[in-house]
Amino acid sequence: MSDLADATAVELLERYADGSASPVDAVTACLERIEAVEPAVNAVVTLLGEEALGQARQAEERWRRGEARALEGVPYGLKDIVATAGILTTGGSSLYRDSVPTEDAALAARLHEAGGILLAKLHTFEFACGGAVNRTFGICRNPWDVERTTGGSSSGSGAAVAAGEVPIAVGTDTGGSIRIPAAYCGITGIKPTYGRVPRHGVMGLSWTMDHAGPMTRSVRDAALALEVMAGHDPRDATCSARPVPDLVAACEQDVAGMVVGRPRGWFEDRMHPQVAAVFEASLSQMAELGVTIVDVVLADLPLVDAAGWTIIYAEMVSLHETFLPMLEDRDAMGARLLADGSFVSARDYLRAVRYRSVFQAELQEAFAGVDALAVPGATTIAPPLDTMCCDVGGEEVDWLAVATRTHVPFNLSGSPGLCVPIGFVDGLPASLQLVGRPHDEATLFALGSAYQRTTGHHRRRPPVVSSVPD
Amino acid sequence: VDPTPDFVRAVARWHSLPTSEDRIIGAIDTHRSRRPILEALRAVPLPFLEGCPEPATALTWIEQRGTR
Repeated sequence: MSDLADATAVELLERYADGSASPVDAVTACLERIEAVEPAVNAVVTLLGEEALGQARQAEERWRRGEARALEGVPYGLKDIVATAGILTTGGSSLYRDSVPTEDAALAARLHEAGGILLAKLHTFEFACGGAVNRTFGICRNPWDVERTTGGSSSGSGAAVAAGEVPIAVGTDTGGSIRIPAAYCGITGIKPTYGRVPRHGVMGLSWTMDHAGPMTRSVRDAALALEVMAGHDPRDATCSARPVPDLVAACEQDVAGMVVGRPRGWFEDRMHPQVAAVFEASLSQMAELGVTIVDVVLADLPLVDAAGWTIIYAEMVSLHETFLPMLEDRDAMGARLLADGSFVSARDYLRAVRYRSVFQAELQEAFAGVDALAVPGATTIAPPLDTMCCDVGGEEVDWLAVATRTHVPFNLSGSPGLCVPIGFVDGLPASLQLVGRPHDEATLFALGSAYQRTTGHHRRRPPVVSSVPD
Repeated sequence: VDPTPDFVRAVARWHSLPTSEDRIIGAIDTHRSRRPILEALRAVPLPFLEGCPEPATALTWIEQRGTR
């Protein structure tokens, strides 16, 4: 039964439909996997085993009656900054250790209403910014090498999906917090267009940079989950009213003839050499699918990065103002960001917010004649927990600036970004990020799915799973 | 023109920020290292009249699928 823990959501649904497996089987398999790997990984903050088994039995009834919904009986996890009615939502912080919301976040309600089964609330950097060492809930470890970080801040979501604890997890992304752990943990993750998924009920970090999205083991699962999570909600003032297209169908779209732009420069100039080689190979594999790769120019990325960080600093201090007197109770990275952010001037913040439109115009030009952009999902492998430094080719540098540099620009622009695993360096995953026009996740799913149909990187399982006894 | 610790302490007091001495020193280091790129950002001309970018301009661009 344990192989069900490694099945994708789409595979589970197919097996429920043909009767070769049931939601109870799948939940049981995930619970067994959780029991086996959690001592090494620590991705779960709150386990909801009994509740999940009860829902799985109800899901079986729905399948029997022919009333299955989009995610009927599929287990999933939520980053623990997503509110869940009647269930602890800690924010990964001692400050909210006993907090129990009375209302589901909009996206949590949608996953539940689609028949998904919430199995666990998942580890996060404290309030999505505290750093890899969470003083309250311990360190979440990378299933590919437990001495290395998952990246973050959606640490538990990345680790749980990679280790087969759940097939789908929700993460949030302000400067790469879905895409970095997706890249470091060898899974698929999409930061959708800004406003595509309602943020109502999700603890904020930076309201103009925050996004929520799915993390999965396949592009098709990401499309399936995003289709459920996306769509207008009046409780989020910035949520788009655009209809959500058929994203699962987009995964079958022919990509031959598509053009993908490669901006190089800022995105590729601080790379681990072997990661660079794997990235190069992934573009060649894309070309073999009939996709044309062309160079495009994005010239002002250092300014874009500076604008993005200025906004994160300022909005974070504003949102977390209540916690400023408890600064020294916060985990290290969050405390430092809050202290430093307190001295950003209003003038710089407002300039950064206005500069966002300048970058969008530059991006619009870069997209002329191309369907998507390709940049590294990560320019390095996951750094060791004891140093949190990345090798960028003979030089060890602090992980945060390196890890976020291929992501922050697209939080600033609001563009969707899809990360897919593309190979391994020293046994650790490397990743490609495909970036699309706003509200064109469909093209990213088409490209990513075509890539995964002809490659097997997303199917490789990490060592922590191999050590689980049958 | 680096801000002195006394200046930053005064700003912290002015804004009622409960900032320790270590945090003051850390913030000075951070902002010193960011200053060159912030000056470059400040030097980018932003239109006053036609095409004056405001926060809602960016949201409209997103909603219009990356066009204006």
